[in-house]
Amino acid sequence: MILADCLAGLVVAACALALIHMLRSPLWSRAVSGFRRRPGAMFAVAVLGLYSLVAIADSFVLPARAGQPPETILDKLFARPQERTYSAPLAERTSEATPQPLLGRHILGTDGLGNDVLYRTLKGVRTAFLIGGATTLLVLPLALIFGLLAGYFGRWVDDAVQYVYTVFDSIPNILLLIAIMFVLGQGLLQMCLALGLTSWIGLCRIVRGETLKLRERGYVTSARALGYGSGRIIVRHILPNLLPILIIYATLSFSRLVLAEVILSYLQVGVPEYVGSWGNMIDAARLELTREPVIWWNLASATVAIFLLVFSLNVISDELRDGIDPSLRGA
Amino acid sequence: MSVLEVVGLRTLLRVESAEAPVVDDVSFSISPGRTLGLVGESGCGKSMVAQSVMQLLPPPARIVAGEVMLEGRDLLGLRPAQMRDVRGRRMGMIFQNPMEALNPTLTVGYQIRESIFAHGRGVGRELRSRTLQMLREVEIEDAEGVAAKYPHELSGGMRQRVAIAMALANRPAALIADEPTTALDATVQAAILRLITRLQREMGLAVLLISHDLGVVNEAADDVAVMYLGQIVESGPVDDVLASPAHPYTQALFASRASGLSRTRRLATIEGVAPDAGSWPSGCRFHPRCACAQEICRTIAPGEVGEGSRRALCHFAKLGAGNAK
Ligand SMILES: Nc1ncnc2c1ncn2[C@@H]1O[C@H](COP(=O)(O)OP(=O)(O)OP(=O)(O)O)[C@@H](O)[C@H]1O
Ligand code: SF4
Ligand SMILES: [Mg+2]
Repeated sequence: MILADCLAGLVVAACALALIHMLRSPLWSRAVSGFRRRPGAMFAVAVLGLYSLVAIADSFVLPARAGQPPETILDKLFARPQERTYSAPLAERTSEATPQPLLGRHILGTDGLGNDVLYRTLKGVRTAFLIGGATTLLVLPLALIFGLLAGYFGRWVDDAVQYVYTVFDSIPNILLLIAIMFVLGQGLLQMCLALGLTSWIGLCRIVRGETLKLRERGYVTSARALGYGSGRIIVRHILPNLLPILIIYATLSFSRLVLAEVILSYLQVGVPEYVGSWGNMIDAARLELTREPVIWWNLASATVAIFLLVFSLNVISDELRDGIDPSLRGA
Repeated sequence: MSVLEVVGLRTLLRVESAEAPVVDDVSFSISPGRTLGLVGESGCGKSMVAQSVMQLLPPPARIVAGEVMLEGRDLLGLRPAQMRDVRGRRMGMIFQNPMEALNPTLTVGYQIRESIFAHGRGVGRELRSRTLQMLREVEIEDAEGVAAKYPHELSGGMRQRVAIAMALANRPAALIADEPTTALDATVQAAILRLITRLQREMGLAVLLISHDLGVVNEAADDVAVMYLGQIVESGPVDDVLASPAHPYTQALFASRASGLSRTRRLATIEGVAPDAGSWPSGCRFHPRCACAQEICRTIAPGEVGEGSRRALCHFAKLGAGNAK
């Protein structure tokens, strides 16, 4: 868990750095300032902001009282004792002596085991962010290094890289994922590693193709005519021009990763049960949906939470692309 | 002494597993402060000459023979790292399309600074003042304002000025300009051309000016070399060559210009089309299109004739005093 916490810190730091860097460059800040005029974009930003707050609240551990397990801020605010049985949304709490209005209720009900659904849903946010973020942090360097080298240098470097990813690609992804998970064991980190190893190929291909195109651009030729070395050309003149594609790909793959977690957890090879995750919630629906009356609110909450995150990410990636592309194309 | 001297340059191009010359025994030399105009139809190999000199050839092409001497040093013998140091420091290059020549993600100021510090010249404050000075030298008045801008905020003419500033930032000895004004409109063309000429005078640059446009060469060049299918078929001082072209190809070029058929003054109105590299005719390469072709031209390639700086590659070159038509 300590490693996971460090990783979470890294993800947050990387996101913050990227944000600051972006906002300082006029090109991006103009794209971002266009957000203010679009209600859809503002909504997406608000959702992401809210989710981030939840994830952060779930990352800070409060000083533990004697004999108690450590609690995060989120636990302190939202944790509810387990009920004896499930209950529909807005059900009153029964395990506490003095019921309070609203917050004394299970706003989203409790699941088949009697756990508060709102709390479970909120616990899933950090897991989703960790899986999306940490895996992207693993995928980006892998894909960038191999894609850039293959695209820029061509010849045997390209052949070698293509060979490696064709081998990876010829194994069905889901099988490879499950195999890696079995080898590494269940856990958040293991999952990020497994997802990272299976999903860098798509981006690597895109980076390679894009680099092949950019290599022929006038400014790269000029850069070579100015006597710049390959390193400088790749880092300063090709990489920044890949950014729009990277951002779009990263946001889209973030949502894909969140969904992959759901699938793996459903297949019982995902994150362990004690880690709250939307995948585990949906997995629980297997039993809950066959009950009478049907427990739909657990499944619905997880789905809405996933939908909001995926939707917001897609809206933001679209907006960013629309904002940045015209200026990059010189229009 | 000449700054840039090319002797017997030969570059092959691989087309479908066979190699054919695109630059064939090309020689020229440029003294400090002088401009050599290189003209010829599209596809005759002008850019290949420039890229060979810079050693920036595309992968299917390679240099197989010749010498490229810059300030007395043979560039073809240099290691890649040494050649990289020569590019941008001793020899600059500008390209046809200024809209593409600048990186859209970096400010103009950064890109000029980079062209200086990439060669380890200048740091900090000095770098900044050098950058602004370069912008002023290319006649950009609001140097500070422009330095903070991104390329997409500038017009084509302004971008070409910035590209020139980058190419000349390290005070090179030679400048290669591959159709620097072709993509610009007429008034901007003239201004950029004047700018290049002025900078050349001030810096004592040797300039290789590649163009389709005889008007451009007439205006800006001291000497001219006319290229056809990988060879220089005629060369000499611009005024002499323009007044009395000795090679039938040059004559045809000028005729096509004088007849006003082509309002853009491009060299594309000679009868027939130039064949692609690899399928060049035997004997004199121009014979299928030449009005003066004789039997001998079909089989025997002409040698170079002429004296001093005036040369032509034709069995029947009209060199000398009595050839003015
Ligand atoms: N990257 C390349 N790959 C293959 N063939 C090429 C390449 N670049 C140029 N060629 C061929 O080499 C020959 C000479 O081209 P070059 O670009 O030197 O002509 P040019 O005189 O500069 O023409 P233009 O006036 O159109 O610029 C042409 O036949 C062209 O098709
Ligand atoms: S050698 Fe013959 S074919 Fe060639 S240019 Fe001269 S006259 Fe024409
Ligand atoms: Mg050309």
